[in-house]
Amino acid sequence: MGLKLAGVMMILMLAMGGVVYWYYNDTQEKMAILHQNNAKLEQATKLQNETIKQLEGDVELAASIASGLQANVLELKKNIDAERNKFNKQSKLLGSRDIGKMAVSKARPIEKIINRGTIDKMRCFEIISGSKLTEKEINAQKPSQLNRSCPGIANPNRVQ
Amino acid sequence: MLILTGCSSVKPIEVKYSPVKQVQLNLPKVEELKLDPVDWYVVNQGNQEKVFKRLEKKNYDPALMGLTDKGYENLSVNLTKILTVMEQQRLTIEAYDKYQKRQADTIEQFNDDQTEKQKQATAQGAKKDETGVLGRFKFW
Repeated sequence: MGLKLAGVMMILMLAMGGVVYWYYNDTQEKMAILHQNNAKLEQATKLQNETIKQLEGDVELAASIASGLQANVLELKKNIDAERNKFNKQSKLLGSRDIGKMAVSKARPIEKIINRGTIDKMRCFEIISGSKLTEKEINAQKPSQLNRSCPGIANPNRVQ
Repeated sequence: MLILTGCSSVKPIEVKYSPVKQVQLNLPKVEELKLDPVDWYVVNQGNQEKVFKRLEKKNYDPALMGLTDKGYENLSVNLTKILTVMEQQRLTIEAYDKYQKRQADTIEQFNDDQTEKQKQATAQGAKKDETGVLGRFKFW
């Protein structure tokens, strides 16, 4: 009787042990998957944060380029006023400059100045459209060597 | 408890990354301007005969297209305005180009980093899986 009971108990214990073993394995597997899921989610969140940082960097870069361009545009607009001032220059010694009066009194020199100015201006258009600078233009430093219409573009080594 | 936990199932999640690719824009270069020369003649009441003689010497027709001093001034300022707009457009294109290049470099770097990180994460996950059932019983 006692032996039978021991046998039944043994079978029961083995069955229980099997169930516990299965339960342990199953839980461990689930825990491992959850760990992996957690790691993946952490990685995804990290990636998202880095992407956001990257986008913020792009926005900053765009803003800095735009502000640089804005400054250049403002600088360029000064050229228009400078051109207008060439015709209406006021001097304490000579009074106001009038190209019409100068053309009446000194037609030939004014003609030369106008032709030189036209050549310079046309060269500016060519340079802006992509024409490469000549050695003479690159090496120009003195005011007499400069392109007076657009020294900023045509003469990078000018003395300022 | 066995019934409750036995019925539940945990599925591994899958996170998908898709690297951002920048589309390259290849445009033809702007044609360079090659302008023809223009000669100006200054004519006033006193020098008109001389000027017309010069025209004759150069085999030009004895006719001039005229501008007043104010007209010349306006033409000059107008050309400067056109020049300014052209330069603005050139700078704008340059800025776009600069931005696109820098962004392309950053995106490439970012994608490379992420691919590397993903590889490392996968390798680590595989190492963890190598621990078998018996390994989990180890207490040392």
